[in-house]
Amino acid sequence: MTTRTAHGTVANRRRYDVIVVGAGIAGSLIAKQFGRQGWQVLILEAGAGGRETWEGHLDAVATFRSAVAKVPNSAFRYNAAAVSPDVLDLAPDGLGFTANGYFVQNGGLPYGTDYLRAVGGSGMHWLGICLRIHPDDFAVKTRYGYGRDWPIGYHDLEPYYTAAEREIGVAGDAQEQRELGIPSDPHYVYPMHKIPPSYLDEVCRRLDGRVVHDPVAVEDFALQVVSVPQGRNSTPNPRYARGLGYLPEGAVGLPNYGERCVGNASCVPLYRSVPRRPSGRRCVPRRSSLTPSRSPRAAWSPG
Amino acid sequence: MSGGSNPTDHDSDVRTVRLSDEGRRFAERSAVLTGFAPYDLLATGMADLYLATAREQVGAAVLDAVLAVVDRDPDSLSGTDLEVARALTYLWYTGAWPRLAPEAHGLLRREAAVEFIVSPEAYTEGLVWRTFTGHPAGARAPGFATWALKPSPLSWPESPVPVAAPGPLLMWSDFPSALPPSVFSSVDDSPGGSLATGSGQDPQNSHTEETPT
Ligand SMILES: Cc1cc2nc3c(=O)[nH]c(=O)nc-3n(C[C@H](O)[C@H](O)[C@H](O)COP(=O)(O)OP(=O)(O)OC[C@H]3O[C@@H](n4cnc5c(N)ncnc54)[C@H](O)[C@@H]3O)c2cc1C
Repeated sequence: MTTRTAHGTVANRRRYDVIVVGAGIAGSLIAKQFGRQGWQVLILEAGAGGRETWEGHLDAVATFRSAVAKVPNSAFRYNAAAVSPDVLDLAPDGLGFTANGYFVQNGGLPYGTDYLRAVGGSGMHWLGICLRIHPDDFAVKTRYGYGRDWPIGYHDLEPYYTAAEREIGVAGDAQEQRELGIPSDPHYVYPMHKIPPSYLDEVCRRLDGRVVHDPVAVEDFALQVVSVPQGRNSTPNPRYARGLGYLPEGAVGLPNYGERCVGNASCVPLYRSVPRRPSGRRCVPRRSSLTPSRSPRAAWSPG
Repeated sequence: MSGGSNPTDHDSDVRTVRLSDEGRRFAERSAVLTGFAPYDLLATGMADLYLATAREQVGAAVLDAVLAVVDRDPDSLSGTDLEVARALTYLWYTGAWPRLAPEAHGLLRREAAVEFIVSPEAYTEGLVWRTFTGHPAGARAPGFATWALKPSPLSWPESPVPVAAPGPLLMWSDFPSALPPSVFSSVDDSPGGSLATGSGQDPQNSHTEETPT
């Protein structure tokens, strides 16, 4: 499977079996699936690419460093042809906020972070948190008499979670997740060992067991401090895939030791689905492994 | 290669790496503003660029006057001079030239500028990272898993003084949709004490960890 980047006139000269619109995580993986079947796939992406070259990478680094406020889109140049919504479009004005950007935001709660229109989409600057949804959350109506049940359950999605975790090279502790009530095959391990908790994480561990009152549920709960599976580079787990191990795309350095940048959120390991080859052939827009792309402050808040 | 009196390529290379006298002088005078030795300031490699930036922003005459007061009696700085001295300090610490107070812009007869990072390198050379043994995001990342280690103690002789003026940095909490306030509250009113001191794992840990906020 080969990938080429081309502009409209060149792309227009050929015929394709499938056209995918948008080179985010979703479009890229769909295209990869088709490509694997030998189909000719065209991905149309509105935003810019370029960071897969060394020059492009350096430019992204300089752009990030030059930004006064480091926000998720700081590493990406403004693109008038495909404008990205930016948290800096929002200005708090004492009472609420004013929004002056790509999104028209007139509601009470603005969307308070970025989206990215560029090759790779928002996966280029996400936080990398890769949680499976808790089985209870598929059935909140049945379990808690609130909201609606999903038409599908956890077990319908489980194989897809597993597949996504392979593509993204998720680092996590499956046993810890099982103890939280998120089932997986008792032998399942994540592609990578969990990211070692930070010093501050350990400081926060003292909250473990603390009882807090939830004013919405009108109930007391004991807090449990656990780690979160992350789509960030860590140490490959040799037990993954029943002992086959895990090899990130573009890995360099010593197996099971190097082969990684240093666990930043901007560094998502991509699964190498073909046997190791010297040439870096790829079928998804590969992120540059060192591009700093987001600040910890602008954390994405799930839900 | 002996250059003699005819400048060669080799000579001009040597000239570019030599520290300029005025850059050196600027770093010396900045020592009292920053609390860092001239050696450390020069080692950032930013002295000439910062000097040129400050000149461009406030004009050579004003800058010289301010630096002269800094030299003589920094405690006597006031008004616009103090604002310029603050801007210089901010520049060394963050690599950014700040937006000055509106009055200062008026007195300097300059249009109110927006804050800007003077160069990508300036951001990574900011002194601020050294004050808390941190590193600039997007540069000089420490090794894998070093984040699990206890940070080395701060070497400051005194607690950093809180700055009165609200900084131009955007705080995440400025944006209401980000996280509910409850995420941040009710953490340190616990019997277990404040999060800033100590961890369950390391009882020796409860010594001073100054957290400037
Ligand atoms: C700051 C931030 C942090 C996040 N953190 C996390 C996290 O920790 N964990 C998590 O699970 N999720 C996180 N998310 C969400 C996650 O990143 C996104 O849900 C995911 O990347 C979306 O992927 P996608 O492929 O569906 O869409 P996108 O990434 O949005 O990709 C769509 C692509 O299509 C292109 N496009 C759109 N319209 C057209 C058109 N008409 N023609 C051509 N191209 C077009 C766009 O330019 C874009 O590149 C985060 C999101 C943000 C913004």
